[in-house]
Amino acid sequence: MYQYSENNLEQCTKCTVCTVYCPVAAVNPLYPGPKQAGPDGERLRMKSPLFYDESLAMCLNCKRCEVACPSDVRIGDIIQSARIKHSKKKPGLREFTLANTDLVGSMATLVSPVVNATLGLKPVRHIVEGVMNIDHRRIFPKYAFGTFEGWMRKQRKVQAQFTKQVAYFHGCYVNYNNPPLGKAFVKVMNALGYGVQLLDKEKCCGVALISNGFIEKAKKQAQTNINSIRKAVVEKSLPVVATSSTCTFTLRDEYEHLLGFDNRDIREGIDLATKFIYNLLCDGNHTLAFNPDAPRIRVAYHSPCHLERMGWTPYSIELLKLIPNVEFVKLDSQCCGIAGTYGFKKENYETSQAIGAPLFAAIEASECDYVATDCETCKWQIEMSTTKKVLHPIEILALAIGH
Amino acid sequence: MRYDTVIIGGGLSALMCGIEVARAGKKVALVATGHSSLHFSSCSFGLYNAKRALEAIAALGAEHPYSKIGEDNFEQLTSRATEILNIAGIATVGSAEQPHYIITPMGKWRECWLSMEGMLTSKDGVGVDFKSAAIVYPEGFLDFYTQFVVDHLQDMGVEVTTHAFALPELTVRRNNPTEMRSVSVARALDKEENIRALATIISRQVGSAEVVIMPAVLGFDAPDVRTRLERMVEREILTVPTLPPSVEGVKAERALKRAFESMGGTIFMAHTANSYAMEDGRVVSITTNKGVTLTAEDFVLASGSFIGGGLKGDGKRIDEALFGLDTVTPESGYTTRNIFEAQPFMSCGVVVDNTFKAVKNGVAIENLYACGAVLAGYNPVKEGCGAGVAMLSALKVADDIINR
Repeated sequence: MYQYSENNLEQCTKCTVCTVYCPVAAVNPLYPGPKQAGPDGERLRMKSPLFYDESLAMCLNCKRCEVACPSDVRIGDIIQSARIKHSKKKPGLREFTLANTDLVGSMATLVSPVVNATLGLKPVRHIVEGVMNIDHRRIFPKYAFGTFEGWMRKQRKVQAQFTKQVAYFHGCYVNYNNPPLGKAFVKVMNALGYGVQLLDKEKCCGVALISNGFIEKAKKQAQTNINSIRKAVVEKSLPVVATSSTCTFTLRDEYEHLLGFDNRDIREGIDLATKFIYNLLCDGNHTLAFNPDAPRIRVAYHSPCHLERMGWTPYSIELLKLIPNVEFVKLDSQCCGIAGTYGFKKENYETSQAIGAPLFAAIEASECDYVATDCETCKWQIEMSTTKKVLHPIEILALAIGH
Repeated sequence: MRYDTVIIGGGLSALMCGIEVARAGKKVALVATGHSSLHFSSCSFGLYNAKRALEAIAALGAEHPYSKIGEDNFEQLTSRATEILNIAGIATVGSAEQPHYIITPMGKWRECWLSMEGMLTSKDGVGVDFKSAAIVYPEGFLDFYTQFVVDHLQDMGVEVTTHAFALPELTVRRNNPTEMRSVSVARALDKEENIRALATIISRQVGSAEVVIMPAVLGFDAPDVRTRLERMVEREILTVPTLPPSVEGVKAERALKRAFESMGGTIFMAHTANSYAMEDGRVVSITTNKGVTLTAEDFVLASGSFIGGGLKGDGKRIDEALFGLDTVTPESGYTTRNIFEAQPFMSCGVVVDNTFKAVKNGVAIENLYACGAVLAGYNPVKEGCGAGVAMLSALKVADDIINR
C-alpha cells in the first residue's frame, strides 16, 4: 500500500489497543497517552507545530505501543520524531551527564573506587538531587576499575588464533560498568570456536543522547559506528554481535527511523548475542559442553521493551531453556519503568517506580535465584527495586559451561 | 527456529489451539502481528444465534465449520473449551445445552453460550429476576451508553435510577479524552482506596435498588474487584460491556497467553508471517517480517479475517494473505445494500477439508490446518457464532495434531 506519511501514520484505525499497553498512561494520568501523543496529535502537528506539547517528554520510548499495534503504526517513532522536530526544551547539565555515557564512563573508570564510594553516600545523593535534579533514591550503577576495551587489547593475540571471528559491539555498560559480562561473552564464543574482536572504533550507540535531546552529537556518533560496522560487515564479512538489546535496537532501527541514516546494507549484519548463539547451537555444527556439576538455578526471565520491539525475545527464552541447570520461569512481559536515563530524573522517579511495581512483585513471588534480562538499565532498576541479583542470559550460559 | 507446531495468529482460536497442543507436551510457537480482536469483544461467547442452538447447528449445510466439526463432537468440545478457559483463570457461566442472554452495549439481549461471571444476563431473553436497579457509571466516560440500558430495563418493568460517580484520579484522566477509557477506569479501580471511595458513593446514592449495574470496568490487575465491592455495598453488582477496548477481552487474552506460556509455549509478538517454504506438498517453514524462520511438523493458520490480516480484499476478490489458499468468493457480490442484512463478505474465507486442512489449488495440504475467523462458510455477526467457531475449530485441529 502506498504510504502518504512517515511511520505508517495513515494505517492507524483508531482502535485504541495501544492505549491499553502504554506503561506511562497506566500510572500517570497527566500523560496524553500513545494515541493522542502519537497519531492523533501528529495530524494536528502536521497542520501547525503550535500543537506540539511538551508532555510528550513523558514518553519512555519503550515502543510497547508499537508492539501492541495490530496495524503496524510506528507510534513511538511518531512521538520521538515530534520531540526531535519541535521540542524547545534545551538539555541541561543533568541531561549532559546522563547522556554522555562515553565521556563520563571513561573518566569514572579511572577513579572508580572513589566514584562508587562517593555516589553510594546518602548526603552526596541529596546534593546530586539538589544540583542536578537526579532523584536521591536512585542508585547509580557501579563503575569498573579499568575498561573492557583495555582487557580486550591484552586478549588480541589469543582471540586472533580462532579461524572464525565475530566483532563485538560491547556498549558503554560492558566497557565501563560490567566488563565481566563482556568476558562471559568472549568465553562462550571461544567455547563455540569463535574469536572475538573489537570494532575499529566504537562509540556509545547514542540512545541516551537521542532521548536527552543531543541529536547532532547522536548523529556524529552514529556515523562513527556505522563506518566501523560497515567495515566489519561489508569489508571483512564479520557478523557484529551485541549483548545489549537496546544498543542492538538503536543500531538497527533508531539510526534509520529517528536519525535518518540509511543503514540497510549493514542492518542484517548486526545481531543480538542470544540470537546469534541460539542459531549456532541449532545449526547442527556447534555444541557446548555443559558442566554437569553446575548448581541447579531457578531463573525468571524479564523481556526488555526494545527486545520485544525487535521481536527477538523468544531467542533469549529458548537459549535459557537449553541450559540444563536452569529451571526457567517466564515473567509477564511489561516495562520495568527505568527506560534508560528516564528513571534517573527526579520528576520521573515516582512514575518509573509505579510502572515497575507489578514486575517487582512478580519477581519476588517467582522464588527465583536470579532474574535474567538482556538490558543493562532493566538490571539496574530490578536490582535496586527487588532483592534479586540480575544476570544477562550470556552470563548464565557462561556459568553453566564453567569449570 | 524449530518447533513441533507453529500457529499463525494470536487471538482466541490461536491461543485455544496453542494451549491444547502445548498441554499435550508439544513444543509450540505462536506468531502474532499485534494484539487480538478479543480487545473488541464483549467476552460473552456465542455458540449460535438461536434459542435451540444445538438443534440449529445440526441442520447447517456441509460447508459450515460446525458441520465439519460434527454434531457428535459438540458436547465434548464445548465442555473442553470451557475447561481451558477455566484453567487459564477465566471464570465463565453458561452451557451449550441451555443458552442464556447477555445485554449488548446497545442495550439489546443476545443469545450467548458463555459469559464472564458477574455480567448482566437473562435466562430467557425476556426478563430479569430483579425489580429495581441502580446504574452507576463514571462521570465523563464516553464508552458506555447508559440510556440504552435504562430503556431496555424499563421495557421489562424494572425500576431504574442512574448515578454518575467521580474519583479524583478519573477527573484528571478526563483532560485527555483518549485516555478516559475503560482500561484506565479499571486500573483506577484496582486501587483499594478507589474501591472504598466508590463503595461509599454507591451506598449513599442507590437507596433501595436491588442490584447495581455498572460498565465492565471493575479491575484490571487486581483480583475480585467486583466481589469485593459487592461485599462493601451488600448488594449484587452486575456489569454491562463497554465499547472497546474491552476490559474483559484484554484480561481474557492476557490470561490465555499466560496459560500458554506456562505450558511451555513461545509467543512471537509483533511478528507477521510473510513467506513460507514447501516441500513435497508439505509446509516446511514460515518466515516473518522480522527475518525469523520457524520450522515445524504442523502449521495452523489462525490468522483471523480482515481485521487480523488473515484475509485481504480489494473489492474484486478476497485472498488469504500468506499461503494464497483457495478462498470462497460469493457469486452475488460482497455486500448487500441493507446494512442489517447478512453481508456476504463476512462468510468469505479459506476452504478446508473435513479435517480442517487448508486447500490450495484444489488440494488439501497435509500439515497445514486452518481454524477460527479465517475459515469460510459462516457469518459470525449474523449467526453469533464467531467465538464458538474460533474455539471449537481450534480444538478439533489440536486433536488432529495430537492424535496423528
